[in-house]
Amino acid sequence: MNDELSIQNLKSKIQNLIEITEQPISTDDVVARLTDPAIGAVVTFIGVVRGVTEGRETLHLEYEAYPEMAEKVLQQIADEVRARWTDVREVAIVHRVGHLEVGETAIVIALSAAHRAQMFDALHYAIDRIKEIAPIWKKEVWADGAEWRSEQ
Amino acid sequence: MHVNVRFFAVSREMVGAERQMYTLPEDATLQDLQHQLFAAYPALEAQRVRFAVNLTYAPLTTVLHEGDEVACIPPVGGG
Repeated sequence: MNDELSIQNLKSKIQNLIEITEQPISTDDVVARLTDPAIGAVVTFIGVVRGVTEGRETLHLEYEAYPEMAEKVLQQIADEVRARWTDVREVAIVHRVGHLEVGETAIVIALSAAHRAQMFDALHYAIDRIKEIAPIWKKEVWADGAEWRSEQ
Repeated sequence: MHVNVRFFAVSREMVGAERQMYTLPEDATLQDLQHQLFAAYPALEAQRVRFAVNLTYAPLTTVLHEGDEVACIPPVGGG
């Protein structure tokens, strides 16, 4: 019975590592999801809403996701990171959608490992891959217009 | 055969809907659906859209089935 309970706890913890949310993101909360006792290092990437792009002032951003697929793709990216950097033990990715003001956090990626070697490479890969394949879009809204932006 | 098509971001704005039902002949492919979509909404063709079938990116040769969920995915920009 205790075993069953702990398996359920473990499952819900793992699911919580990947999340698309409309709520503000706390980086501390995301890091706190990494609970593997063997970890000795955590690296985080925090993506925030930039106030100026190409010399133009952004009023706010609108993020939109295909949530069911985005969670699946983020899980796939987490699996890719662990397959390429086998020292990485946990991967948490939380992406916010909806209306975001300048300076607010849009994404937090947190990786844990026993040691720090190569973790920055793994983190770099994770954010590049998210921008490449995660079905998430952002619309920049200016005083005199708006546009969906992609780096592709 | 009926498939449920979902639209996001710029494609949602061009189509003016989040979802539409499309009727296709049996054994139709994603290419056939794309043809219908571009005929109905010519502006979509310039958007370099990709498609997903049942939550996975899929090539245009993919054969569709009754009840499939197809998503029209314009260039992404998360993070």
